[in-house]
Amino acid sequence: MNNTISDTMNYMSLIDSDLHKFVKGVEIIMESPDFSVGTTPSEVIYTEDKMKLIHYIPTTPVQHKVPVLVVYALVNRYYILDLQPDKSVIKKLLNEGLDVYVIDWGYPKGSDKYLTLDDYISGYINNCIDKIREIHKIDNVTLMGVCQGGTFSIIYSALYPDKVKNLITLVAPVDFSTDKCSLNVWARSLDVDKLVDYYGIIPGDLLNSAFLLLDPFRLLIDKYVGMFDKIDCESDENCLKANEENMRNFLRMEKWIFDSPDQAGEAYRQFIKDCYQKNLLIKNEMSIGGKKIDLKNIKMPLLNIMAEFDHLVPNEESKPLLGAVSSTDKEETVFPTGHIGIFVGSKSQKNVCPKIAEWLKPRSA
Amino acid sequence: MDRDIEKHLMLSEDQLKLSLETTQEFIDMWTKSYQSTVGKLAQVPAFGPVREKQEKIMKSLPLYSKLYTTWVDSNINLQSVLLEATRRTFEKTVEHQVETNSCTKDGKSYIDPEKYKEFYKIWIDTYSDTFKEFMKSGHYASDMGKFASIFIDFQKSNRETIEENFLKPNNLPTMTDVDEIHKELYDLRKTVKDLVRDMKELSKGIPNDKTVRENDVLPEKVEESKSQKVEGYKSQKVDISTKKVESPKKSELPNKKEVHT
Repeated sequence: MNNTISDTMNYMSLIDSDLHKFVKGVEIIMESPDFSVGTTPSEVIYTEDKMKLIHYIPTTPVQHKVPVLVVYALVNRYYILDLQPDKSVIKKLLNEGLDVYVIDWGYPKGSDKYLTLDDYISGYINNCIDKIREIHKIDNVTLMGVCQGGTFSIIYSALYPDKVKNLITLVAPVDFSTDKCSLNVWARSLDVDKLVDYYGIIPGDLLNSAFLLLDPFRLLIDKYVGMFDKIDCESDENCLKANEENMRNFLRMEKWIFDSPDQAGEAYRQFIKDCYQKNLLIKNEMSIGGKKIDLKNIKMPLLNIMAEFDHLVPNEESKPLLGAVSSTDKEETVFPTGHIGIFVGSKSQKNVCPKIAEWLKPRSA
Repeated sequence: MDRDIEKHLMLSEDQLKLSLETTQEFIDMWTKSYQSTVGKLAQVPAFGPVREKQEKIMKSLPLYSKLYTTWVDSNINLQSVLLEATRRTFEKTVEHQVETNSCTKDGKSYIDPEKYKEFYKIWIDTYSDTFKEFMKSGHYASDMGKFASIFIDFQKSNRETIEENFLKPNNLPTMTDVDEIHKELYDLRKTVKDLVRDMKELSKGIPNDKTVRENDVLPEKVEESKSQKVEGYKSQKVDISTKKVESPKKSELPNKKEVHT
């Protein structure tokens, strides 16, 4: 009997402590904390349809000669690279003396449903690179592609090798034959023609549901439990600040995760068919706008960065890149982190950004 | 280990399995009887002045039944995974209790209040792993692919019904009408961009990239290529003027500079 009473008391005190954490968390949210994202100062220097070319204001008096153009994926938004003011890949690269540009793809609407991969790669990316070449009066730039943007950068570098001085790919898929990620398995069973013909513009929410289904229990339950669990109940100043900062960072990530632009149907159709279903890119059998993509045309220095615990782009999807290109100056690095952690984790700040800068500096003269 | 709990769980597992099998049997039976009754009726040719509309509405009935049976099928599969996840969680919890000696002397288990978070961890890890394993299987992929395909057919039929019965009679634009405009807009935008690029390159006195690629011009033939491009430009300009295209908008032209942050 005594045992039961003491157990019940223990339960009550634990539940009380968790409830207290929850209430504290809700209190912070109710005060509408400022969780702005992408705060590094920037200017828009070129626009085309819904696409914007963003230039980040340099933070060092002198920059390296070759600027860096970052190409992000069409799904989700580029500001993951500048999510938190204290953990920003962009800021870190600027502080290393690099001149950084990023493509913001915008939010496609009905009138963009006919945009093809060719429009994105030979159109938007090519025009942005020409613009940067014009501004800096140089022949070529460093192209840094992230995730699907990495695949686009690989394609671009194979089609226009003269305009790319260095190529950096971050968690970028190139060989889609693996079954390690559910997305690859699902994409093969998808009737993409039916989907694109019906929707025209593929709803971002639909794609987001697929991402959530990759691990529903963690992404829909555990993540939120973990968030409130992080709240510390001490009431001193430092503790309050830490709680607020934790909550801000959580809200920033939530904003990014569910900020999923719709997808231009024709580009989506080709990406799923040629990459996920037929795996044509690594076989040098893919074409865009009637131009064959031969990865052997990639001869510039190449740095391929992967995340060891990547659940979206397993290493098997990125690793074959080095063997497929003609570059002699090529390197690959695997960091012990996840697909998102590579941009926002503390390891990213300590290891990934310095690695990029260290590799890039001697090649940016 | 608490034999009562184990017995109880095993019983519920058997009951659930039985209930899933019964559901599957019921659905099979329902589908058969639907196909031999209402399903047949839905395929009877329509007649009279509203025959076309009637036929379209009737065609959506089999789609609805297909959607329903596919949904039930995938749901049954999901329930089986849930069952498997529960079984694994139970197994792991018992293992954990034995490892951490969370049993009383008489062999009965109890949950240490301090360790409910450990139980939560076992639960979330096991459920997550079991579902991930299932989601990665070709079985789930084909289930989802099938469901998505039927769902789109169903939605398409709904859209057609709305267009036929509400939009068209009220002289409101349909998706097909809007699509036509989107396509026209896309083509025009592309043409305008090509023209702007051509003009820019012509003003610089250099041959267009596209011309060089398409015609595979050798360096010594650049001059020839230039004249070809000028002709091409002229003919494109005539095409455009017949379509009454306005000058490109400012936003479509390069060199626009605005402060962002």
